[in-house]
Amino acid sequence: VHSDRGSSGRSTRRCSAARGAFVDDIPLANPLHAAFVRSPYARAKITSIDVSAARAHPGVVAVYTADDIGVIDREMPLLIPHPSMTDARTQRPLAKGDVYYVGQTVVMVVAVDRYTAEDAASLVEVDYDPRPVAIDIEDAVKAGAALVHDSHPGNVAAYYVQVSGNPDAAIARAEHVTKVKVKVERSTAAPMECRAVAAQFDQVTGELTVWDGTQAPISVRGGLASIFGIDEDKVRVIAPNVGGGFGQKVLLFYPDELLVPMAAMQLGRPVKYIEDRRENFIGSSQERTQVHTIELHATKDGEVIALRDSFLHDTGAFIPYGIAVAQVASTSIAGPYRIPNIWVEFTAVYTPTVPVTPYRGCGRPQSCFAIERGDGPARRGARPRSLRGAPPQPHRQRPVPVDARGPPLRRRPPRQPRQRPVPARAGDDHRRAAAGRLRRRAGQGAGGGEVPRPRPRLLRRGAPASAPTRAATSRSTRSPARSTSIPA
Amino acid sequence: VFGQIVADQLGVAVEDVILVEGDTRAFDWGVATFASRAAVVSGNAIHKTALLVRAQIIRAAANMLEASEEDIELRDGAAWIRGTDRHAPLAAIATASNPLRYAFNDAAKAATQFAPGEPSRRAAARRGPASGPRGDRLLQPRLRDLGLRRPRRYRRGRSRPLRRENSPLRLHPRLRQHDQPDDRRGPGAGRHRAGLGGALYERIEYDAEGNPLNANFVDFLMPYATEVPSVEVLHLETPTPLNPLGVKGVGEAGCIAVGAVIASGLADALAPFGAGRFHQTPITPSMIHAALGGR
Repeated sequence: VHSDRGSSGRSTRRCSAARGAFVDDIPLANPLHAAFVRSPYARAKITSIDVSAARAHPGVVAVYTADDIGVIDREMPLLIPHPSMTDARTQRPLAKGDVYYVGQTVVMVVAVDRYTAEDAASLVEVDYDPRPVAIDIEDAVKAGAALVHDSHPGNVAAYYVQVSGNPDAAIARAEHVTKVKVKVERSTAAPMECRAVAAQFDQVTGELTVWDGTQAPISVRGGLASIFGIDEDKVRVIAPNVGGGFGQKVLLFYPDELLVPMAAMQLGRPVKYIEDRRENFIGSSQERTQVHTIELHATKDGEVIALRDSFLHDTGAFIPYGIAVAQVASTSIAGPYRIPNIWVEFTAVYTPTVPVTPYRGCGRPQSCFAIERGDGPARRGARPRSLRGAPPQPHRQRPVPVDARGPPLRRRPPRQPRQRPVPARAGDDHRRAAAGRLRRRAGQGAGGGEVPRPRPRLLRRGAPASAPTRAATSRSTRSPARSTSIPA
Repeated sequence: VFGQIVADQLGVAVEDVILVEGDTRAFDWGVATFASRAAVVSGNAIHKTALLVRAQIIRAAANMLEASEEDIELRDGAAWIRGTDRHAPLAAIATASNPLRYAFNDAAKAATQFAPGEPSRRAAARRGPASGPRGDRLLQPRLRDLGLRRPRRYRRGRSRPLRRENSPLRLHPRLRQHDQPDDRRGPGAGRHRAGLGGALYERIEYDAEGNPLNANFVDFLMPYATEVPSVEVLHLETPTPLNPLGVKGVGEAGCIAVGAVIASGLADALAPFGAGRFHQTPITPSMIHAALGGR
């Protein structure tokens, strides 16, 4: 995803040369400024909120809690639904009853300037009843781990399996396996300019103008019009120079993107909110954390005939983009290599941390790291042949088509039926349940050749849809598998 | 990149292409800038539009210069009869193509040296008045030229020119793919820098209670100019057959493999010392130290 989001080079240069404009540079007549009270706890129940001192503070124009925001007090949309999720959880503009990560917005204060707004925000008294947390994703999926959402046992947000070829049969006849566990840590887009929103409402014409440091002004316009019940023609969204987005600046919606326009309409004055750097670290989307356990199964002469990968994906406290990041990692796990049999599963895990949405690369850096590290031991091994060191294959089976035009598209194999997603099951038995469903659907043992499978990306360019079926070597004649297991 | 695409077709300087972006009043429809898609989706839409405009310019120029269309070439902001110094500036062609709008400027003066023929008048009647003497009016192809239908709200009533205000094209709010606008093949180092950050530096740290420990640029390490090596980019050109420009998105590509490449490199480099397990990014200095047995 997601994230070209472009480099910020040209706009930054233009703005630092006093041409162009970030949102904060837009001149507004007599604007009000917003500041947020944010959760200091990763997971807690809110027992009370007292805003009386903040409302009484000189210069404060309005103080909003979840109870004061009318139609926008709702869970934000699930942007990319997928059947592998049940009851996907998304964030509310202002926390209602519970907080789910440090930095979640609880109260918005609107005042004559940012200093006053922040002073007043510090006067808001919120009582929390903290709850236990499991931050590490490997801890979060263990039995008895503290839950982010009570509705999701095991903190499992989604579970999904993708199969290509006949991995079980290939694994059974493989004579060498390398297994490694790799981890990629969480990072953030860290754009040059943080996010920013300013809004102005014309009471006479009924027109709402919003300056939003977003990658998706058209989508924001549509969303605002529909949520506030305004004709789309009366909503104008302008994304001026945004100072780099990298995926972080396309989410419908961040709390401020709704609350600031709402306040501008209610208060009759322009309102702006400029995210500071700390807020960007604790309030705007992040990405990357995944733990892969990847196996490469090879024949004696080194040909890698099967890949098996199981990974955990950290989705943070909410999953507004669905399984987008995890699914991209899953489908690109074979990298540029032609591996005829692939089995890959992932579990998307809720953790009480900043929500995860696509950030530049969107799962691909993780899968690339996993396959390349997985190949490392094989490359050093005496007999197995590395994926990378493999002798050139006939053109149509070459791992990467050097000529990316590839064979004509008409030579693509017939479209395979899409594999039906496997919904996550509660508790520790979700994997078994899913495997059972697969078996039932296939009408035979797990990994049977008839399992409907997604068309693998690697084979799109004209290679056969699956490797020629070869009978698995019988156990009596097969030499014992050599196994190299490399712990992380 | 968008400017370069237009400039290539119209034979004008990149600086003369004015891009309007990021304003819903200028565009009626679009999705967003993400997934490295802007150059592929918007870039090709702009390219196809520029081809239509180019054809219109050549038609009008051939008429004005009394030459055949095959002999017209576009360069340096003008239409030239190939092999001669006889030419008409694009501004003059634009003005002459629309006599209903008379601008008292150099372009109008130049344009009046020619007698616009029938095709131009027809075009003028069809398109109605345009808004500026330079490039803008040229960017008004008919919807059916583009194989598109009029947006529903404009479908009834008199035919209406395709303007930026009501364009059904997928035009996306912004593109900063390349730092050098005059070289679309020259990606900036930004995406490699992003990959390098993930490979060696960047890690959001939480404590056991879920408090972020490094929510600032002092504690959250990222590569600065002092850490980023000079990146030499070698281009392997494999144009895709799936779109007219043959372009692929590059916004994300550069950052994807960096972690794997650095880990492989380190594993190889340190193999003689018996250290070879780099199974986690970022690979910190202490991890390398530990891999060497703390020597």
